[in-house]
Amino acid sequence: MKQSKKSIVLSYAILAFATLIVLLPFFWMLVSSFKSQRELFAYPPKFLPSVWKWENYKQVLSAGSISFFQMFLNSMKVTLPVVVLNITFSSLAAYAFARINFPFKNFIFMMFISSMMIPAAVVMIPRFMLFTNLKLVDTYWPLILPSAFGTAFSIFLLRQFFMTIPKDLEEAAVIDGCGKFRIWATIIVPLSKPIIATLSVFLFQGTYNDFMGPLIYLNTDTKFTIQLGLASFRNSFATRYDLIMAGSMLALIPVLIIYIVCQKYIVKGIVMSGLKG
Amino acid sequence: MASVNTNSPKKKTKNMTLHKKDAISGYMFIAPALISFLVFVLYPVIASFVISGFNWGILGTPKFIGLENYKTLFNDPVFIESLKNTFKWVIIYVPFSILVSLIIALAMDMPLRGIGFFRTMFYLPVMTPMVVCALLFVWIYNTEFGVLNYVLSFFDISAIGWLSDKRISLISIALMSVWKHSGYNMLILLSALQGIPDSLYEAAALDGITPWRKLIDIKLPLIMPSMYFVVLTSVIDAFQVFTEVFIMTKGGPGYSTHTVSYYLFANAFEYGKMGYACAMAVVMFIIILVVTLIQDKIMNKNVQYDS
Amino acid sequence: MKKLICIFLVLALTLSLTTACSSSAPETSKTPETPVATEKPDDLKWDGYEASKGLSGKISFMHFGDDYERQMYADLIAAYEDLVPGVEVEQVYTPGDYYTKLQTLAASKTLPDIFWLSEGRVKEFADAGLMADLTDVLEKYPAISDGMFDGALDYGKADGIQYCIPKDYTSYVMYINVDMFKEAGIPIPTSDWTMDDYMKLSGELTKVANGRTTQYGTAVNNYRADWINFMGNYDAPWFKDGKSNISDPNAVKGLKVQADLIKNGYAPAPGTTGESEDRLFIIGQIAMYPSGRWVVPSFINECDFEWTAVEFPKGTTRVSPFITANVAINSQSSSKEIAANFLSFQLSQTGLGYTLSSGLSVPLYEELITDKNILAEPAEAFIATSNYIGDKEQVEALGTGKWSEYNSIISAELSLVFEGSQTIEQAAANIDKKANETLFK
Repeated sequence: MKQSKKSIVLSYAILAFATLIVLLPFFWMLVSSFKSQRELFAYPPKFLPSVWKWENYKQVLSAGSISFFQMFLNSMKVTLPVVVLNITFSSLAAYAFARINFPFKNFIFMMFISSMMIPAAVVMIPRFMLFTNLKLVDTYWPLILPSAFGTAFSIFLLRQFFMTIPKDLEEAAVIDGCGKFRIWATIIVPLSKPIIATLSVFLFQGTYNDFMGPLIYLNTDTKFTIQLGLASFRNSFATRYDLIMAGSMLALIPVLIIYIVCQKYIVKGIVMSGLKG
Repeated sequence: MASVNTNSPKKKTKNMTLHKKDAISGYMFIAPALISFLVFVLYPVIASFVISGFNWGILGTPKFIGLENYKTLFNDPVFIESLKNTFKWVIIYVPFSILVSLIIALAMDMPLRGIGFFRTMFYLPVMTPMVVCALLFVWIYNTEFGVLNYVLSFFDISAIGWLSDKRISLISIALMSVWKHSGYNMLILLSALQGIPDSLYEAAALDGITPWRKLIDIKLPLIMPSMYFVVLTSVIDAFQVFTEVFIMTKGGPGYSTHTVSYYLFANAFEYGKMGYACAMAVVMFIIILVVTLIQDKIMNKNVQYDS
Repeated sequence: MKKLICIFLVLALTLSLTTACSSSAPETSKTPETPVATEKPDDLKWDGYEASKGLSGKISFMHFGDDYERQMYADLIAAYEDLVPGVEVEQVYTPGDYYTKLQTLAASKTLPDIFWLSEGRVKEFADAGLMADLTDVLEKYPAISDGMFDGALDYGKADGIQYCIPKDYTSYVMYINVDMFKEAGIPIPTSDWTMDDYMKLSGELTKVANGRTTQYGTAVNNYRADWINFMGNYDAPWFKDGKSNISDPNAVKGLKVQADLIKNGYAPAPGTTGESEDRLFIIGQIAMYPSGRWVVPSFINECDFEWTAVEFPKGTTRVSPFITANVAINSQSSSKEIAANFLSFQLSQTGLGYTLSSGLSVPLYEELITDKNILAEPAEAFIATSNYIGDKEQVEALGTGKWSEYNSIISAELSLVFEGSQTIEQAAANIDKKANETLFK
């Protein structure tokens, strides 16, 4: 497919400029993670550290009553189930909203959307009381269950995408005698790789970066997730910025990996393959 | 729908069974999500609606006061200011953020070399926890010793109180938020753009189409479903802006960066006025719902689904 | 290219994980051992040892702080469990947003047995009946109140009843960049210095070059300890008869010092989160910096110039705002006796030895405050503040239970003053009007 030269040049220009703006603060954060506290806020601002303090990273890794690795595993115990389960159940529901006609469909859908309009602060306490009554505090269940069976955001996102899948594919399958579930599993899901990849990134990151949930529900420090570990470098009296920067850089790595793996699925032509067959 | 309704009774029964079958499978598909919603979302939401009718400090026993919280709310200058700031935020932030995301997504839709690199770069701010970004920008925005004013000083521009001047504090935070969140919507729009079949471009190329026409006639219309999603969710999220303000300015200077969500949180957990906070949540909910419904009416006319 | 990045990241992650694994893995052994009575160590300074014999059960203890503090308390708990083998203490360390969690637990009636509470929350929690009356605990363990500075226990009381006990405090002093004073040939202020001296010195120590201030004489914080000090040092009745009275001329006079410092250019306007000011002192941009004890560990580690602390400048008198964490026992706890015993250990000289070593706070006991092992240099200014702990108005305002909201009103109005859009007089009038109409009806 030929693109006009002008478009390509313009695109590069936009991207280069935008990358600069995006990267600069981030690059500052990266170099700061190697600075001593004193240098971090020197004036005039020094970009590069005079001494590259790898100790910052070492300190972050050994701080806390459990190792960084253990905290990472704990984070995974919550994040991975949520990602897998949420996508599964949300896409089932999203398919129903996109393609199946059932009574009260639009009302129920609106209800789901409106659940996004409530600030988390007011939902927190009733939910906590619920889990206290179920005796699930200080476990990972309160962090997994609410998102495991599908959430409004995921359902909405997937539904929009499903609605753009050509109906002929499904109609062909119906004629072949496929039930709705078969259609979902063999046609809809494979064609939705881009959006599922996108959603995976969002869910992974959202759950991984969640701070309030683990803070309220986890009491034993051996169960702490990474975000709680990072928070311990900061208290109301003294903030160890250098450790926070280093710790955040480390904590970023899993999310970055997931992103890099997933984003290669967000490519052209996947929808096309269905029509050709 | 493949089948056409005829008058023959046999066909009618078949359609009715089909209808029933659809209803059953529809409900089965949404059952897990629906049940989860009822337990983990609807129940707490109803609970908080009910709490708004009480005077409850979380710690003590609740006292029923009916709609008094709401009366106090509309006479509370801080709440009114927070409401104004929240609207200001939505109006400034949402269009700007979506525009940025769209432009970048369009730029990335080109078959450029190193596209993976760019995509990763843009998503980096989204991946970074908000706490770190906010700390970063508090320092960058510092009036006397921040990097931004340092750079401006080379152009002989005197120091600007990015966060300390109440006229621009909210805008400064909005800029930071655009920086942080654009990658998010960019990814969604890019997914949609990449989902446009090449055959459409090929057909149009035969007619000799310009890039501008390609944009207006093909790309934009076909990503409308995702655009609809992006606009709706961005507005809903923007109305609830909290973390940025909480970490960067704690609602100050004065009340210039007080947003409803921030004031709500303060009332719930600092001032011990949970009932009052819930009343705010209810008001906020109604506002967002109305705005969303209006948006839905406007946008749905333009959304084209494949048929 | 992408593949390379991916490989690099996986390597980085693996590397960091292996480093983490090779570093010593701490163990938290919670396996119950058969209680073996330990010999009382000779150097134990805890009067609750006898009472602890025969105690057995489990309690939960909730606290905040950074990772360093978490470790200190983990050590304290381990020491206690050694001395009292039948008891297990569950450490509920809260790395952030402590009060959000505490209140959520309170709302669902699952508070831990023993927990911390700042002075600003005592009345609220007392009114809700969440804390046990500690009067008999004080009688049983007299060492807790013996030797405690006068006025300290008041901060743990509500309506005259002792609901919690302060574990330490932090007073406010003026940190001095000694090198800057030496360079300017100015002698370090002595205990007698006044607010006028402070203003004058700030001017002398401010340096401007090319239209930019390269050195500030001092800094201003928009923080309650600062306001209380400035108003209190002029003996202002800023809270009287249950009403906010910031418009009192003496209160205005005190706050005006802060406003004028900024107006005259001797201090930068405070950032709204108040975190940057410490940094400014550490990087050597400020000659005098008002703050509490908590900055000392950072200053010791990071300042590369000579520095010390002196008392806050005098007005017509001197007060010291009280900022602390109190220790409280859950009124619904089924293990109050154990909790009380643990509390007595926390506040014993042995116990405090574990937790004060960070230097973040000042002990409330006369014998400990002069112990160089417990209160590292600079100590003199802090010892001096122990002579005038507390501020009458602060105690009264705290007793209303509306301290947090009152604070927010004051800080919002003052931030506008420091930003330059209103005067102190206007702010004071606004504060009083707002507070008295909505909070202190």
